Amino acid sequence: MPIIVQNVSYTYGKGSPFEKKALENISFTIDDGDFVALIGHTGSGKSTLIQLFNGLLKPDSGRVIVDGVDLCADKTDMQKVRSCVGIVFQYPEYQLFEETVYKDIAYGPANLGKTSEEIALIIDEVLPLVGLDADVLQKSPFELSGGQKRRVAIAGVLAMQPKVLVLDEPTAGLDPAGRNEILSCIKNLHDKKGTTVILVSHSMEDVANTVDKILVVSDGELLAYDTVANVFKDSTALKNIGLNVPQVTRVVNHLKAKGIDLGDGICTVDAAVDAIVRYMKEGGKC
Amino acid sequence: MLKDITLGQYFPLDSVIHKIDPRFKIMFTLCYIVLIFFASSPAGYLAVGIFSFLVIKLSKVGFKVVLKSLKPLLFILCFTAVINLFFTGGDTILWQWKFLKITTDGIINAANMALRLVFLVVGSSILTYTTSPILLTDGIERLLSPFAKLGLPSHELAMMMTIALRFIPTLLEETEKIIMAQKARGADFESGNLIRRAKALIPVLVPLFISSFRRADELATAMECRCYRGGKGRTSLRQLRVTSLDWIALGVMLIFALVIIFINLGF
Repeated sequence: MPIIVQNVSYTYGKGSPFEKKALENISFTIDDGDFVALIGHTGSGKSTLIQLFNGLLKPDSGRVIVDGVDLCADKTDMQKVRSCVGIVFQYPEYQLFEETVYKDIAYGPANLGKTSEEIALIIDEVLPLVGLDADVLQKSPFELSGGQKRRVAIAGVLAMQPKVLVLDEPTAGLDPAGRNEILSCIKNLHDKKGTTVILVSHSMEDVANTVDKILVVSDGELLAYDTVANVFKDSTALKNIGLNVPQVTRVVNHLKAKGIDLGDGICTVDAAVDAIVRYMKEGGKC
Repeated sequence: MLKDITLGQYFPLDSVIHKIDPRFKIMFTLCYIVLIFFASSPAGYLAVGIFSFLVIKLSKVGFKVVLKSLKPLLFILCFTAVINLFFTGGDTILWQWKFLKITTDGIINAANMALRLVFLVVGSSILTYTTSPILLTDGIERLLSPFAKLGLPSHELAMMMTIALRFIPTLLEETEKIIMAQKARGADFESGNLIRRAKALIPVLVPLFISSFRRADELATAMECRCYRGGKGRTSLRQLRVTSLDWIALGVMLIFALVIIFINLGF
């Protein structure tokens, strides 16, 4: 179920004094089962871009095709598209509203017309995916902790059983433990269910540790769409648009400048450890 | 859809209307509103129309935006016009069906009311379009300050207004975000009957209320942290100064008022 974005442009507040170009002539394809990160500086158009994936926004020009369905056509069944592409927005816990966690997770599937028996099965399946216990189900979502709230909100989107999951900074404002839990949940989901995942993130470490490919946007334009190693190879280009490479890559680059060449494409701590071990075995000095 | 609500929004442009002292502008707007009710003849409305046209032109906001501000009031506008059209008594009956009748007085009344409402909204939106909320409340605070002796908490009122105005765009943005999030969860706000649609708003309103309370709480804490203790002895960062432009504007306003009064008296 590939997502094809063709020559898409989008402008906010067209014709008013607040007119602002958000996206300009963007094209790319995300294939089935891909794990893609979307990175870019604040205001670069990331959030606008993800809202195109399920037709919440319609592009001014160009086309977005999900699973062969053109989202820009008038007769497209949006409900169906939204069940295919689930979006978890920034701070999703702010969208919780029901009396109990159970009812809140059930909101999405109920909107899609699922029966209560089906919903019960879905919730049983979704809850372990986000690492929640069954005893939270009858609690009010507002008495949970921040991390739990967020997981409930993510579960609410997963309950719609999307084939593509888009997450806008799912780890923002969480402590390191909460962050790792959320990220491993997402990775788990991708590995076990084959869900296509698009992750918007500001943390280059998280990106390097989880995804396969990276989409780089800056000022509404697509700068790069490549594998993690290739994108992080050019640290100056990323710095120019207000981004950076993972810390460990920066260390490796510094070492290289000092004459210790560990090789290219090292973006995770594990890869760096391997490279250093290899380097020392080959008789290099640190 | 929410982005269409432009009433109460400020357009940061550079024009003579923007530069007029907010105290003057508020008084002018009040004056204008009173004059709308004075002008009850076609000639009077023409004068008001020309004056409004010139002010909009000078403000550089654009007619499209001003007309957009009328959109949310379209229903009230039509409703008032229709009520006036059918239920005004008069001698010359043009059309009648049971208790409904259209008289010439009715038509005139309906047109009068509709025009008045349009000018009312246009006038007050021009004030908010061209005055930043902070200047607006500064102006109100200064204008109300003589009443402080009578026990009117002018500073507190102004502060409440500043905060309320300040949060209109924030809350609109928040609403938009929540609507997006619930739509992504399959919410449907556009179809179904009235009750269904009202019910569909619950998932938007509950998070919105919660976030408003949270924001209010955070703001109160932040203000207290910065030792906010109300208006007593508080000075303002911006001092409002009357310039020659304000006197010119006052002159124009006076001429306009005289024109309306003369027309009304039948000269």
